[in-house]
Amino acid sequence: MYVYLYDPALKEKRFQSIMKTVENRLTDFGITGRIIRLTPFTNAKPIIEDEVARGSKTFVIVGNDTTFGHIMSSSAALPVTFGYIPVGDDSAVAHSLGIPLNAPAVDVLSARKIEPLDIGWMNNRYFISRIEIEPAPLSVEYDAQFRVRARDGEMGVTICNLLPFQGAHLGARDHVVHPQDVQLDAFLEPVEKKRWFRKRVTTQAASIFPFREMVIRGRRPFTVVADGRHSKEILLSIKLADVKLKMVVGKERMFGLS
Amino acid sequence: MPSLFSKSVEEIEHKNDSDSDQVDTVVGPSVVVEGDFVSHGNIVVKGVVSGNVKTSQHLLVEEGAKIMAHVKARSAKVAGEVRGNIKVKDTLELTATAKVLGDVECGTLIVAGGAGINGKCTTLAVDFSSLKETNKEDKKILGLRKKSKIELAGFEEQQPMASV
Repeated sequence: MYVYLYDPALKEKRFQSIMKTVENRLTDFGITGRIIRLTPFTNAKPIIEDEVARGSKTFVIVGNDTTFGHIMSSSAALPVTFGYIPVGDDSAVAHSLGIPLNAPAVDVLSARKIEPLDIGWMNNRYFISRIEIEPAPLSVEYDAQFRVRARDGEMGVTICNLLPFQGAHLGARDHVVHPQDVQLDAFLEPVEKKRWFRKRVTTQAASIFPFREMVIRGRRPFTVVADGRHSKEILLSIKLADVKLKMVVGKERMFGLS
Repeated sequence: MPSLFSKSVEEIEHKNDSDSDQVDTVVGPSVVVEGDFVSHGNIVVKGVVSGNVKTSQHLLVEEGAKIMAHVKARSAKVAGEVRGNIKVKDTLELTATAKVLGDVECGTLIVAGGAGINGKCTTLAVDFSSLKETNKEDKKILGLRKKSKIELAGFEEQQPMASV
């Protein structure tokens, strides 16, 4: 049985026609199910656990990448299958998973191609896509073996699992990562402070470190954006979770193609 | 002919684009790595590593990069500085800008003109057994030469001095 977890914004008028088409297509494929409308402060984990107890096995996130990140942060490790219907104009997660936007996503969902994906764990929650840390005086310790720091003070850190890394320096190309390689990838970009306006610029290509466990320490609190969710941390412990996420993916996904 | 070990960072990065399964470890020029640096993939060092470096794959130490401890890899190309022993299973290539302060042990060694090594070099892929087998003969020859030199010296001593 399918359970659809709706983003609260889908009530808005601008999404009504899209949602009507999506729901009609779900009916056509015979994969309709229970609809749960989330609120911005809803913890999806107990809801999913309740539904699992009732016999549901597939949970479909309907919304945007923020909804996806919000639900996954608490529920990624649950032993269920997740699907995703991206609603709106753009979705980086959907693009990476090979899922088209809006109603055509139902076709992918009905095909049920399930792939196991790596899950990252940071401090007290899961992440699937990417963690971005703004430039700060950081020290990064990998797998309790070696430590990396910027030669001239500050650096920005990006941890990628599903979404590619987009370098900030001039001429940088997207670095595609693999969410099934049983490791996370850290990209370190030291920044230089220009005298004029104390502007911070990145001139060098990023350092790349695949890892399973790392600790990031800052001399002062630094800003972290994990799957679109902002927070301030002074110590960040990141590791690859022991469990995998079971996800319905499309043929056009950016990984695991032979 | 370009060998497998002459691949540049661009080639490795290009490989990444086509085969995203394996991400290489890249130590950029503006970072410092402290501690034992272990990886199971290719490593590209452009900055400073102050600790042992170990990989089961290829290691590339770029010009201007420094490794200040021992290095162990399957194959390696060094264009920067290594202050420690290098142990490579297959081929070790030292370019013209390479500086190694330590012992080198590798399968095959390729050294470009201008590269500096201050240490003992051992190549494991080269078979030295044939040299050992002829050692006895060499000793015999050397012994004979020594003997003939002594005899020659004695003969020279016996020679009457030429009158002035």
